[in-house]
Amino acid sequence: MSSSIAKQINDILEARKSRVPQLEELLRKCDPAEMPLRNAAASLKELADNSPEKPILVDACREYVGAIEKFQEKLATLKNDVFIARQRFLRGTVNIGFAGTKGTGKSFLLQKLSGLTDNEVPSAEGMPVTAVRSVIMNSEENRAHIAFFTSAGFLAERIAPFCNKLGLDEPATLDAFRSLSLPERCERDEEDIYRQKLTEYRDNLAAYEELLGTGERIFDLKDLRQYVSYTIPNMGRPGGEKVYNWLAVKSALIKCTFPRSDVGRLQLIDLPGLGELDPSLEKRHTDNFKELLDLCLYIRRPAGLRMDWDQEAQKALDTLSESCPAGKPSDFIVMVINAGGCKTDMAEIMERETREKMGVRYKILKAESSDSEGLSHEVLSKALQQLADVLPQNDQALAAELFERYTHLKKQVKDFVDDAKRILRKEGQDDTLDEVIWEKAKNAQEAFAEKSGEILEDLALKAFEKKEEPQELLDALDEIENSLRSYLENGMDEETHEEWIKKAVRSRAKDRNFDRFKTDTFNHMRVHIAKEFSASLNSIYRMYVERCQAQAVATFNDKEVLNGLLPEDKPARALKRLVEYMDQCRDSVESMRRAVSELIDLKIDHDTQFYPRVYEPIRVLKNAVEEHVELEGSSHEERARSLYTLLADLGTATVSDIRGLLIQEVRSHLYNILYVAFERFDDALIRSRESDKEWRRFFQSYHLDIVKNGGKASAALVLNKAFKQLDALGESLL
Amino acid sequence: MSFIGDFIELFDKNDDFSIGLFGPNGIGKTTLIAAMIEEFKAFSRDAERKNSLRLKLKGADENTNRKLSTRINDLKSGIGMGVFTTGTLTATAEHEEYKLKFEVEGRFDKNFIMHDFPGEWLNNPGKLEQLDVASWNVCILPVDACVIMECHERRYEQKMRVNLGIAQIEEFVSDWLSKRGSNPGLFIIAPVKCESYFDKPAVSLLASDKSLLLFNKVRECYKGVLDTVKDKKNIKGLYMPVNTVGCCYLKKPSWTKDGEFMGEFAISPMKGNNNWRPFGPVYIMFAICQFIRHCFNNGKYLSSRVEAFCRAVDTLEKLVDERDTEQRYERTIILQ
Repeated sequence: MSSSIAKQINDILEARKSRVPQLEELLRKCDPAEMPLRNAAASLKELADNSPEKPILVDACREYVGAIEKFQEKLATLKNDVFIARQRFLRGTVNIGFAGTKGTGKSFLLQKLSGLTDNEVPSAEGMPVTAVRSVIMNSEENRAHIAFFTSAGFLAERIAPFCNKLGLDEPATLDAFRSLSLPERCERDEEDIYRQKLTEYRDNLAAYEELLGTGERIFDLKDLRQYVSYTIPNMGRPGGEKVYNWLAVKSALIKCTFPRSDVGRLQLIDLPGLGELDPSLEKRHTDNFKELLDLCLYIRRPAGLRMDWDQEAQKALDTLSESCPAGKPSDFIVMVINAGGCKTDMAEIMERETREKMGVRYKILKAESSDSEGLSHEVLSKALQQLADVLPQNDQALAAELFERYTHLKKQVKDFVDDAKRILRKEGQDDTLDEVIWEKAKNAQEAFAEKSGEILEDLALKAFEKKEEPQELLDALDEIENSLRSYLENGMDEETHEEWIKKAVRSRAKDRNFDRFKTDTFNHMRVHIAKEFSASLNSIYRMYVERCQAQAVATFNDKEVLNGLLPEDKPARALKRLVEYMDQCRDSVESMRRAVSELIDLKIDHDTQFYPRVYEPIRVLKNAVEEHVELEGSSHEERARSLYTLLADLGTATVSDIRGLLIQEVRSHLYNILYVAFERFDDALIRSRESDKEWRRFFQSYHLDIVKNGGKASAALVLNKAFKQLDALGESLL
Repeated sequence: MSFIGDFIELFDKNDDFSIGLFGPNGIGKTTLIAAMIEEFKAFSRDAERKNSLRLKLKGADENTNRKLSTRINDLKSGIGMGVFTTGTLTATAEHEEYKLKFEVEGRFDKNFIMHDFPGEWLNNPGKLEQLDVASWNVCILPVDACVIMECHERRYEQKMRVNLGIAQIEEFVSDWLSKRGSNPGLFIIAPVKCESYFDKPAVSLLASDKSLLLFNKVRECYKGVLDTVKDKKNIKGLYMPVNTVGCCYLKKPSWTKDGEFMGEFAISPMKGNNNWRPFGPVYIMFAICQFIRHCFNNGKYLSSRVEAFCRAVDTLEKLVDERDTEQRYERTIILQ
């Protein structure tokens, strides 16, 4: 019998784990829908805002946005539930919770089943004794892992619920809590109890404050009680001495060896707070049930309670039922009549009453023994049997329910997308005949070809015939040369020429020669020269690329082409807008899109395209470093001056050489690059296999914006965007 | 009769053997003359000390010697200032004749003359007519290598051609050739200020070989002139780039708005590198000597003086061949 309990627990846990990949797959399926849902909602909102002249379309869009918001909620809830189920199935233990109002012997039962004693977890007649939700795990470690709140966590979890009940501002810091002003009394009894408790917590803050923020700590079991209990034993005081450390405790994991060691991977969870007047425990009582609990034992005892099934009992059962993780509540909750410590006849009455009211649905156990062995037999074995009976099918039902919800959501979204597209098509689309649109597209393509041909001719002239060097380049080179000249004449990397001489002489005194100083200066100078050219010229090349892009934009915006469809903005931005139009086209215009994107991405870079071609002077300068030089001069200072002159002259000559080479290289290649890039762009738009078809497709998508609105409104763009986003949404849950 | 006299009588009907230099203002005609003479003198002194060569070159009159020493002193003081810019040296104001004579085996020969004249005359046909170009046995065309090599911008190209007087030079050379008739002549196109474009001898730490580029650019620029000379069987054509100063390199080229080249040259402050040290002009003198010998050999006219001269030129060639690699001049390109 005993070995079969451990085996059953193991089997349950292994079966669960095998479901985890399915749940993870479901999570992955849910993820792709989030963005399309957001995008579709945004597009439909934009469409509604953009179509004031079409009230039916506007109303439909608004309705659809509401529907999408509901889908978002459903999807979020589903994902959360799948995640919780995954966590539950990944758990390596079977968990049984012990719930019950104060004085039902819950802690006594836990003690006996776990082998703990009053020294670690107290149990007392009729008193709430455990203040912290403790997890007791069957383990040979025999130590407790206690996690403490941070200050912020403590204020939010422990204090804020009281403040909310009393209508007080939540303290943001411990100091604010320390000086929190509380009323002297409250009219309603319940509130006054809260006030008293909060006052007590505030006044005793010093007793537990230092535990806050200490993270997770491990204690011997003998030291445990002071952290999880309201009291510790004190011989002088009956009932013990009040302690407040529990207020700082977030959770406690007690690892101890259960008397019945054959139960294997089992955890018992003490669930304080049921029926207690502590708002900070109300929420925590059933928190994480779905993830944490497999079975809940609802403990009742006639002592201090009515024996019949009263309202209070039903309320507690309802609270537990609401948090049932899977299957029926009756599978999850097992009632335990604790006959220990009370008169036998009263326990029998309570059992009878309970069986009469609830016995048909719920399993009812009776705990009569006062020792571990007896209670294990009466409660634990039967509880585990219940688990073995219901958990596998409940786990399966839970997974199936999640998949069912996903399938249902998918169908709802698909139906929604079909419906929305149908209405949008009916209410929003251009009704011009295809033949008319195609003719317009053909004319636009021809007009584009004519104008871009002129641009190409001009570029060809500059690239292959005139080969005039661009004035902006010459001006930039003049500036670079002047700047470098000033650098070379005024001490290079030093403040002044004289400072350089001083340092050179000093360096010579140390090294006994100028070699190191010379080499360093040479290298710094070389790097400085290369950098100066690179930094200034990239902006010049960029300007030429922008001019080229601006010409393309102007061509597109021509009245006979796209009729001002692109915004008056920086050329690259205007072209990006065109790419956006292309992305939202109803049918693919990929060749056109690629051509425009390539023109946007066109970059002429000094370091990679020109610097290697004018590197020779730098290489020569680099080699010059190695040469030994004997300098003119009768003193070290004079020789340092000679060295400066030599280096500055060599630097100046190098700059001049680079300038000369750059002029030739840029003259030859700048317009070549632009010409080739623009020709590729032109070919793709005019002469590619796809171009005629794609111009027609583009016009079919945007005829309304181009012809009717003269590029001044983007109704068709917004409508197409909505279509695209709906399509993406439809595909996202496949 | 002297060998030059023999030459003149045999091939020419003039009184003197004439070498003319033609080019615009500031190109360095006078400096080239000074370098050719002084370098030849130094070489022959050295050769006489080491060998038995007895071919000397001397100024034939006081005026020539004074002008030469003035030019050389100007050059040296320019070098001493540590920097050179275009136009540092005084321009020639009027037609100058440098009268020189060879001493062969202890006996002086008849004068030969180097003609220098103001660059402005390029634009003054009247003045040019005063020159008796028909008598020029040798025509040297000094070319400013820096101007040609550093003209990177299209906007200066046309102005550069104007400033170099290329059209006038084409016309002048054509005139010289027609006036020479079938008489033998030597035409040398001599790029000057070539220090920055050859790696031998290395004038600065940045020395690199750009000689082919220079040749191509000169050929492109003076295409008209070279086409005019081409196929003239009596004319020998040589391309001989030279370093006229030798211890400076172009530091910063710049151009005025009028397209006038303004070069700033650095004198190296490295020990031993800051002396006037032309490279190449002496070889132009050698080439002239070889040209004379060639003409004699072709004419089979060998008097004892001519034979002595030819022997001296042979020895000269031998000595040149024996020079160290660094000193050897390997820049000559035979155009025809």
